[in-house]
Amino acid sequence: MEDNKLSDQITAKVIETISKVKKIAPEAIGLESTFEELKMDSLDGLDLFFELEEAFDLTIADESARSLRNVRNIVEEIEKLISKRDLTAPAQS
Amino acid sequence: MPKRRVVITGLGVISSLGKNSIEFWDMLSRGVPSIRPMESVDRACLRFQNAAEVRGYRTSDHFNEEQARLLDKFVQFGLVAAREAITSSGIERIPRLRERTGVITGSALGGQGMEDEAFAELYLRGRTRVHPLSIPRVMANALTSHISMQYGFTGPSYTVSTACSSANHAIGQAFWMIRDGLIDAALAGGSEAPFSFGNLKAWEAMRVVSQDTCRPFSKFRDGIILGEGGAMLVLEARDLAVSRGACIQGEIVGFGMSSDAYHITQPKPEGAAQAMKMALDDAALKPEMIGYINAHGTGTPANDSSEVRGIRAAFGKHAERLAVSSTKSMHGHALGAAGALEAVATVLSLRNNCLPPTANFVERDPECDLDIIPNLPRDASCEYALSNSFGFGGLNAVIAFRKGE
Repeated sequence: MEDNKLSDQITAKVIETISKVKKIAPEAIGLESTFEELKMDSLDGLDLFFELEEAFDLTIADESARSLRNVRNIVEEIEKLISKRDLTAPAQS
Repeated sequence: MPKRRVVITGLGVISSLGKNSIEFWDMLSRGVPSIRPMESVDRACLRFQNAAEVRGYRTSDHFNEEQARLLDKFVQFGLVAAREAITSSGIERIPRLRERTGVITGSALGGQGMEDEAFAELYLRGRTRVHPLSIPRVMANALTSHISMQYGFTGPSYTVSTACSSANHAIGQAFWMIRDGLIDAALAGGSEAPFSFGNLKAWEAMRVVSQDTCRPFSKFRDGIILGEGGAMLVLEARDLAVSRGACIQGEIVGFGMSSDAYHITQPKPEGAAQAMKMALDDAALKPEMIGYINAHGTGTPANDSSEVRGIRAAFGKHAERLAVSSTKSMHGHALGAAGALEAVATVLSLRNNCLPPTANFVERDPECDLDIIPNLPRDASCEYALSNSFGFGGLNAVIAFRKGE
């Protein structure tokens, strides 16, 4: 349940960010939308990864960035990076 | 007036491969890369770790304090290279040539190292003023001006900034000016010093720098390796060079340039092909007469496959017989200086009958299926060669060289 909630939040944020970068309505962006369908070229991709890194306060490795092809890939990559960060973060006292 | 022949009578280099043209060629001709963990900045703050730096460089080895206060590192590199080129050509001993000698240099970034430092004073340290020499230190034409002031060359002089094609555009236009009789001689080349923290962070954000090394045309290539340095050539009308008994290192026979008119970072094969064809036409050479191409070969997935398609479009069947290598695999990508380093590499390759390899090659990529001289240098005698430069923004510049007599 918690995981789904996190995933929904991440998906919503990713779609919002793509909408901001490409100036397209969020309703036009689905989980299966590819970069090609969204008419995103390499520079739009760079812009998007920059905005996502800022929004989620994490770093997407170049190698991972090159392998991302659609919105679902991005959401999964960000989920992975967040869970990795939470695992390695020092415990709150 | 018939077009004059233009020869190269002096070469100068400072790069990660060595502090002069002899050291540079020694490493290139043995196929030894100089890509290592960066020392000039704190690597912990960067996602990429390796670069082609000029190791052991000390300003005080080349300039006194009075001189150094005005000179960004990119100007220092250019002046060191110019000094070697001018000394080896003997051109400074001919006073009547001074008015007829131009200085044309290329740089993509200019003095952004000193700019980074000056602005850090304002933004980070809360200072309210910057150093009063900041503007003349940072201006992109500083190298051209310092060379002409030091040696008294008063001919047409300027600086070209066309990203990674800067030096080729500079050399090509100097060649045309001499060939057409506007000037008799020129110092032409380029220099770059990109290892400031701000600039490295900008390259990191572009996601085009390799995490490992530069593997042009190879499978598993994953980006450029940044390099630094400078290279300068003394170009001279052949009749004047012959009459003064100068040593002729090589000849420039053609120049071509084009614009992709396509994308601000992505290359287009047709633009590259157009520049190569123009260089061949300018030199009145048939494609079959070219034996070697010193490729732009940055090591990014996009550039190298596009360049191969461009070479195939320009050369047709002869592409199968061409030897092609990227020396960026050894000296890194020195941006606005790249074409100048590669011009020296090409001249020395023809002169020494030895083609430098594409180092760091691991496996053939079907998208880059040309003879790219993998890993080991090759003994080969070629009469003519091309050197390609293609810049961000789609600006292409190609020089055609002939072996010196």
